[in-house]
Amino acid sequence: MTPILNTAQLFLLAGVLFLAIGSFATNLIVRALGPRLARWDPRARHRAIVVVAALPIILAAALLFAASLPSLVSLALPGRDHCVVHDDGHAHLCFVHLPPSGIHLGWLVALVAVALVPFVRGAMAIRRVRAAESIVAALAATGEHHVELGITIVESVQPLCFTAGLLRPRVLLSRGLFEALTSDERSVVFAHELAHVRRRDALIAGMVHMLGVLHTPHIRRWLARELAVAAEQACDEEAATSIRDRVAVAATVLSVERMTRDAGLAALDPVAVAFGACAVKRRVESLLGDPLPPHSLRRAGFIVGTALATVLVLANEVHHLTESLLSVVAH
Amino acid sequence: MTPTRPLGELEAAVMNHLWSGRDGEAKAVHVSLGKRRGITLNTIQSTLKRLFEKGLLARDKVSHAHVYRPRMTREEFHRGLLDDLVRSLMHGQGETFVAAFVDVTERAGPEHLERLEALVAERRRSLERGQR
Repeated sequence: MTPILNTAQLFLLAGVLFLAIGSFATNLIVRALGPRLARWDPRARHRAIVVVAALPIILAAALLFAASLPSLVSLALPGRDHCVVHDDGHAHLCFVHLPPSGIHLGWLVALVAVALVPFVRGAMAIRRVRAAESIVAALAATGEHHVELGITIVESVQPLCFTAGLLRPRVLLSRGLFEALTSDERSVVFAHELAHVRRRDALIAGMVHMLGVLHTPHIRRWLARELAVAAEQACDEEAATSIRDRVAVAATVLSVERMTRDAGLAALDPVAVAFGACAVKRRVESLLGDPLPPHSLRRAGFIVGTALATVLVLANEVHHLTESLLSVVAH
Repeated sequence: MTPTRPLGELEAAVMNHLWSGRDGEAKAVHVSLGKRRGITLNTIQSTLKRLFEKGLLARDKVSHAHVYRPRMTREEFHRGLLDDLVRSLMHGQGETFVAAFVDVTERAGPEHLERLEALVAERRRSLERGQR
């Protein structure tokens, strides 16, 4: 191995360790603060959940930058060498004095295996999304377009209505549901689905789904579920603002739920067992109450910013601690 | 999820043409769709052949030409695609791709539904009383 590859190995291992630390820290944060999020308005909650999903990457990037900072300074200012000793068998995260040896072969194999998991999962997810995109494109191309409403009606008696597509979201409504809804209910459904299109909820959910690989299964499920509920509630709120009647939105949610149930889709019930309260229940109860005041993310941003600044201030300590950790686990 | 009948843009236009009950002979389809799009008769003929091979069209030989007709109605075609999509939701594969108005994979129990409907009715009554 060349010294450059040895350095790359050390940074790769440090990156994976930091991601694990980030994932663990996120787990603790969600367990401590997750229930509090329920009191936030859905738009702020949605944004916060996206940040939580990306937190392991944010923390790992900050730690990796902090660990590299002394070495980067040495590289930029040759007179300020941060290493006291070099060829001492210690793992050195140093761009000036490149390490003569990398990490143990077993660690290297394990790292490649760990890195392959998200790649394989990502490739499979992209394949499934592309297959689903082609189904939706076929439905949209052969359905009845209502340009003025921004929807496409598909010929099915099943009562279905959804917004689908990552880059080009489309609202598809079945003929069965279109004819079963009253004029007021249609207004609610269209306003709700067009809010999904505007907010790009499917794309954001796709990104959070991909970031899920950085989290434990429990947190991954929590993220997916809470993000979906927050998106639905945010769209309910937009529909309620648009038609100026929160109770009508709640009534429409229940009406569509009953139609879907009565249409024999109850066969889907076995997969309905999820943790936490049911989304329909939460949505309706939220709509029957007063709207939650907008929650500013400024405080959360300040806390995250302070934590990142602290990591940078402690760059020397992070650097040496990381070197010690790497020496213990892999050198 | 296996998409059994994904369609390209031209294929969808041909299917729409045939579902609307118009002539299924290649020349007629070309007059209706091809000329406007600057597409040759050959392209229309191969599109019709491809749809036939996908099992979406049937054909009869009339004189020297094939006359195509849909093998299924638009509703049957849509039902098949929606089944594929709903099945993917059931298997938890498409949940990030689709935001349904009411999540078909997660249902409120009947007792919850009745209680919520009673709450909505009660809220409506109280709002009406407040307006009087």
